[in-house]
Amino acid sequence: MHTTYPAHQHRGLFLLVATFIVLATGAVAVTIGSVAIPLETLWRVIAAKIPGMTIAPTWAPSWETIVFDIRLPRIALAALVGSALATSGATYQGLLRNPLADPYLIGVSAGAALGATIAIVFSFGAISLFAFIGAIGATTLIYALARAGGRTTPTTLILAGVALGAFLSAITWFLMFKGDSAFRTQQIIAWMMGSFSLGSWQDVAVMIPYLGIGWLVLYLNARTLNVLQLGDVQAQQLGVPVERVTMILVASASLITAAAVATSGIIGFVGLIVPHAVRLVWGPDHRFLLPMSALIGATFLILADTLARTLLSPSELPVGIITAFCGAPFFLYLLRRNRETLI
Amino acid sequence: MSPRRISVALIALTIIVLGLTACASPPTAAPTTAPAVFITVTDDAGRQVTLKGLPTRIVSLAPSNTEVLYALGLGDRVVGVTEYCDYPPEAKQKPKIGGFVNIDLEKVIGLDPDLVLATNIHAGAVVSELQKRGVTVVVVEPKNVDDVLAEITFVGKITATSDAAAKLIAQMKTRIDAIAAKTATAKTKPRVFYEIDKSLYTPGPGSFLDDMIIKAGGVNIASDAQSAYPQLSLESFVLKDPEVIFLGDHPFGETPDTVKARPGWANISAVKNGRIVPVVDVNIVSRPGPRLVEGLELIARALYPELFQ
Amino acid sequence: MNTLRLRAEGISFAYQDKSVLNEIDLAIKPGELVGLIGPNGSGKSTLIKCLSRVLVPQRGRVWLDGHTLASLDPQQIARHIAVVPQAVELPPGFTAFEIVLMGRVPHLDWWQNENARDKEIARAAMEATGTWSLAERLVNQLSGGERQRVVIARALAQEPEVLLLDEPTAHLDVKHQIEVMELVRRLNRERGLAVLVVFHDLNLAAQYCSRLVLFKEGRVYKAGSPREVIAPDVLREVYGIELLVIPHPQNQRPMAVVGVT
Repeated sequence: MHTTYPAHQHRGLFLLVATFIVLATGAVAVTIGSVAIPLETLWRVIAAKIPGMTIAPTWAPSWETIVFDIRLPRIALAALVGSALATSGATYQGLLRNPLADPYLIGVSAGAALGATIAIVFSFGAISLFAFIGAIGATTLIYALARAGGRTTPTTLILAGVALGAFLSAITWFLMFKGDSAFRTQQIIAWMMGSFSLGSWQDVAVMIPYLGIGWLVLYLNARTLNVLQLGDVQAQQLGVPVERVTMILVASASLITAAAVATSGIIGFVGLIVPHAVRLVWGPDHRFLLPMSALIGATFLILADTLARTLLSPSELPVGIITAFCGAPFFLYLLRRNRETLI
Repeated sequence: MSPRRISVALIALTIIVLGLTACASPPTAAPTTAPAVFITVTDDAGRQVTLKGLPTRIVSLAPSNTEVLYALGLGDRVVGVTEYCDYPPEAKQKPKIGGFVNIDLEKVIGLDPDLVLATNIHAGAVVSELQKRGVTVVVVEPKNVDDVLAEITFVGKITATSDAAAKLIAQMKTRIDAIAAKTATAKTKPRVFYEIDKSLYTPGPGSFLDDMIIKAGGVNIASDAQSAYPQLSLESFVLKDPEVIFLGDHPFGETPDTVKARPGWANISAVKNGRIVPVVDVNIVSRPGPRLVEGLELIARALYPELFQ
Repeated sequence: MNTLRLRAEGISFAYQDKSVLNEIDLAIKPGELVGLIGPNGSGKSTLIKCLSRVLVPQRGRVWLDGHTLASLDPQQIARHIAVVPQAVELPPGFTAFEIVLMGRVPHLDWWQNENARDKEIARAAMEATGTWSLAERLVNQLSGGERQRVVIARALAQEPEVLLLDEPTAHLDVKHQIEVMELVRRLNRERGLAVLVVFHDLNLAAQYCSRLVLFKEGRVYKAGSPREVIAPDVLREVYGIELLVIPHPQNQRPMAVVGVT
């Protein structure tokens, strides 16, 4: 039972340590893969790329491709998507004042799935683009639906999200049926289960601007998120323009979630479990919660992806399965330990 | 600067570095000397592909491709196959690079192939990802029997085994033409239903199996369907009244007896006359590869037992 | 010449079709402690929300010194008007100090964090309310009275000129009720705040307020000194029961007691 959370002045230290852990996890993940590259060779492969170092290559060029064009972009992507989902989850949990909120509650997953399905069934290609447009479109629609008399409340947002989500899912299933192809259906389901298996530097480059903007806006609003925990009325009485802030937060969180989902499908549990766990251990101050969730989300997903690509090699497990298997028991454990301060 | 500011700055720095790397990363498999061009072809996906030399390390992304490679005598040049490549048996010994849709990029590249034989459906995004990393990929997409023959010629051309290809095709054509000749004498062609699944999934127009049925002298009751793999309604199935039923789901437990027991099926001609054919090796009828002739013969024998003693 | 801090002028408010407030005129001067009383559902909390611009009245205006609330944005309003809500639920996980610090939000830009001066003001507010010893405690571990005083400290940290308290003593035991009201009276006197308190307890209102406003069904039924408002015939009309009014033995202020039959 917490009588107080880990001291304020140590928070910077925690963040620093978490950052190093992300980088270390990434470094370890680079050494793991279905092609066995001995460790010393691996470091020499990497070192050779540093400008100014001259190391004569004693390895096959395909190893360079594997390290720099397959493993590294994948790890980077997993880190970015993990941090995006965790940050977005933390935001939604704070905004909706609901501990069961996750990044997909306000339409992102239903919209993205519909977009991807349309792209696959009608063979438009550009699955990522369609998924992204679908996600943003669905969120906008849900926000407009929930906005009654000029204000949205957490309840109306959640209800509108569930309602429209169900509707979009129905259209998605219908399209899958109409598409009438076992292969297409398999493709759609594979996409929905989430995977980094074809991750490239291009995907990383595309994600970064969205993540950067969204993350910046969210972090700058961290203190406001704290105040929102008092409830709409009290927050308004403290001078917070609640309606405007809600819109900005929903837009930013949806932006980064949509970018994550468009790149790698619908990976669950990260956005729900990670912020929750961080909050249980360190408390609800969003100025710490947001960056810490991002870092732990990144680490978690790098680990999950590493497991996904090694457990059943050469087949790959969808990452979403790993996150669900690992996430649930961890959360149950934290729950038992901290029942008193459950938010 | 507080420690929190420092780590936020670190995170920002990491993101910036990642961004720069992502934007600046060239494909690492760029050769430094002008490549000799062995051959330039257009594959089934409309892509112009240049092979820089005789392929000696070939990866197959589909079982049908694997069978073609082995049939052309290229077995020892094959360095990677899928988990489903089970024919010929030697193929099962080769390193596995994934399943149908899930291809392990790393494994493929680790095998250092100079040719990857892919198919359109199975390897859509994979093809572009491989290409991005400098791998030579050729897509073959045989949709019917004639396409398979064309594919064999094509693969022969790009692997410099055109003689073996020609021989193989001649053998196959002989047997195919023989079937066509015999069935041409039949007065009426039997109505055929190929059951992929007992929920009445069946091959429709544009599918490989549909062509097989036609070439074996049958009439596919699903030939007027709207898609390649339609699901028939029970009503229209009963109306069409197939005379011969092939059980493509026999490996999943369907037998003539289970079919006879289905409610409402008793009056179907195929059931009344006991012409329900369990397919033991589904691959010979559904895999668009060299063994299709065995499949054709199997179907033709079932359709015209009196012609094929 | 306007020495009125906060003035409601002709406020009418309706939730959808149901009228809750009807032509309310009310004013609070600096240094005044005004009590708002009336039966449940007579619109008292709604008026507090209209006075803090959480609700926008359909008719009428609220004046803060020389400006209408409509002409100010929420942050400007919050710099002058602080509200202590009824039976407040504070989010668990925050310390009392963190909650009080949130009172500085009206004085910060949205991207800014609190600085040393803000923390000093919060500390002073907690000292003034006797809650500084609770600073590092988590709010969900505080008693009702302690929580109430923390919220008052937060209101003080806003450095307001106007303080609105919505039934601050509801659900508190007698000791804490007195503690809270003594604190409010002291702040009112020492800082010259214009204070409006909604009471459910008539006698508490009579004891602490210089002026009372009695609501009935969304209208001002009577306004005036405690002796004028706490009178048997007035109370009979509004509350619908017979009450005896006797003077408090120490300061002669009216006390309403239940008669024995």
